[in-house]
Amino acid sequence: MAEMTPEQMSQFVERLTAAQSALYGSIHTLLAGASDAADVLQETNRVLWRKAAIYDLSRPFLPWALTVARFEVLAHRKRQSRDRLVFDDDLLGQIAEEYERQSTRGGALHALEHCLQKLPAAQRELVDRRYLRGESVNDIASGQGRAANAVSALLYRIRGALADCVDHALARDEPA
Amino acid sequence: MSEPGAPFPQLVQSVLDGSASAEQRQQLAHRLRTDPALRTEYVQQMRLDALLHFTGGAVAQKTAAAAAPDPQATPRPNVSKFPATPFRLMAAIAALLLVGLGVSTLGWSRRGVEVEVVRATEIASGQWLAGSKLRLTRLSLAHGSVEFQLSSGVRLEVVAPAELQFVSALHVRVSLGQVTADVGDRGKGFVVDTAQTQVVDLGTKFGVAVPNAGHTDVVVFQGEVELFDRRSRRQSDAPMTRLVEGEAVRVDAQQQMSRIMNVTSGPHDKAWSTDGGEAGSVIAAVRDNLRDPTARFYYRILAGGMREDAPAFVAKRHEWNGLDAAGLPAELLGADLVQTFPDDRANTGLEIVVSVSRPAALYVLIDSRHATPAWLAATFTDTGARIGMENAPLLTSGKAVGKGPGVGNMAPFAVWRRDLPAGGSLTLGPPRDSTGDNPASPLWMYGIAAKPF
Repeated sequence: MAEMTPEQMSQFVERLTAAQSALYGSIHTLLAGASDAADVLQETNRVLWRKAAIYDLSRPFLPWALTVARFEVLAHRKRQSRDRLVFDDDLLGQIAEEYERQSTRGGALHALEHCLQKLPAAQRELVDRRYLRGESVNDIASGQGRAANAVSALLYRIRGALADCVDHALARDEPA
Repeated sequence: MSEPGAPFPQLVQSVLDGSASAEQRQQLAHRLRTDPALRTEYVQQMRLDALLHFTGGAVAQKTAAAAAPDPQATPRPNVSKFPATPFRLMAAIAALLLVGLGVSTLGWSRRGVEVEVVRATEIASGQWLAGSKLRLTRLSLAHGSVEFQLSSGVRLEVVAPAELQFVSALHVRVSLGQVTADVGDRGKGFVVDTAQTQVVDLGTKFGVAVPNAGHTDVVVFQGEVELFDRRSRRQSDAPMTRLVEGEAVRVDAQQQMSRIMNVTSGPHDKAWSTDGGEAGSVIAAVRDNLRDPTARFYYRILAGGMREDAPAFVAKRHEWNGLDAAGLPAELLGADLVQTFPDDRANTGLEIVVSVSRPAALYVLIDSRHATPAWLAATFTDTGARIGMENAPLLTSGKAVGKGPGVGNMAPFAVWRRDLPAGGSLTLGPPRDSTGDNPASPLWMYGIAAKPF
């Protein structure tokens, strides 16, 4: 196995760094929001590093990295007790394919920043409380005198709208 | 299509909150399996949830900026040199991914590092409740101590006065205070930065102390760590030094390293100190005449440590026990114990100076199958008591060390005593004289204990 040149390694690092949010998203999705997604991301990063020398820089990085992440999720699941698992292997494969289909374009983080700025103030406040300050849905609901289900539903709609906005922005910027 | 059970948004939110019941998880899986449109929606929701978590809510960057680490102040690994060893590889990856390459990792830091409070003592404010989960970017602790568990599995005990910055679940910066990290398997590559050095864990339990004096003490209790020069980390991957179990070093502001002779602690590595500190041992200091400047091993002083199954030597599994079911003699129980170095058994030029801070009985525990060294017979009295030193099976044997008195492969040790009615220091000699040894059985290094009057 040939060693990478400093320039190749630099390119690899750049791609690995750029892929972090997509990798985290994939693991988060496949583990259905389990709290150990960050651990699996770490393990995925380790594996990607170990495989750096066999990676062909002329090929797209993200599909390869997402495949590695998927295998790491499978390995992680084997270490978990069955009652913590949400998806079986077949369903997990279907979800992984759907995730890859939705995540072929880079730049999602940048697009998200742009989309967040377009949210109405009340919705921005809700996103802020949930994702910046880490407040639970129940806490937000009781603070606003609303039902938790109503807050969940609103967050759901906001995430849906943001997803549409991000995808639209990425599609617009994609070269023809 | 109409499906029974909870609305789909509610199911998604319940898994995101971690509150989903087994039934809700089954419902979610069933709907995703049977409805491709819901699968698309689910992935869309999870993808955005992850992105929002990842950025920590980019809408509030202004308020988050204060909590974000300064990427310029953080050393980065030299990525042009691929790490040569698995340990180095993991360390470099941990540093690379968690230290400062790009917005993604900073985004994590912006929302803080999730910690769970395991234990807290003497905290004036009472804000640290065991079992509570918090997100921390910085920690200022004025009194007492707090033990946290990070999501990486790393357990951190922080002793006040302390100032810490949580960069990630695998990286903290300590500007003041004492931190003990029990890293575990998942936390390998854990990084502790101080002003003087960067400590990269290779799978271990270690301590870092940063007093006001402008130096960093690093003590390894188990496993090993590597120390890097923070100033030159960008130019070189080479560590300043590697420390293994039983070793400690002080790094000063000029990056000069010196030996730490003593580490004092209570049981289980708690309340450790490199300067006698507040561990409460009557043994103030132990030093030897070793002149090797590269020596890094420290004498471990365990306050009240003489009990059944007490560790006899630094970085070994051998234990002190009663020779039979009667157990250790009462006069020794609860004495402060010094863990010595087993390799010193062959050093006939050895001198160890033990200092006690107040009137105390000093004990030397020596292999009774061998001739008593002349210095011991001349200055100490044989109490007639005998205890056992359990010769631990090799780790590779898979056999456990025996539990309790009279169990395991015991070597008999005599208990010699010397009273120091005014405290002070006493010089001990080698474990054997240069002649008169009995070659029929192995000779072990002696142990040292002391008990205040």
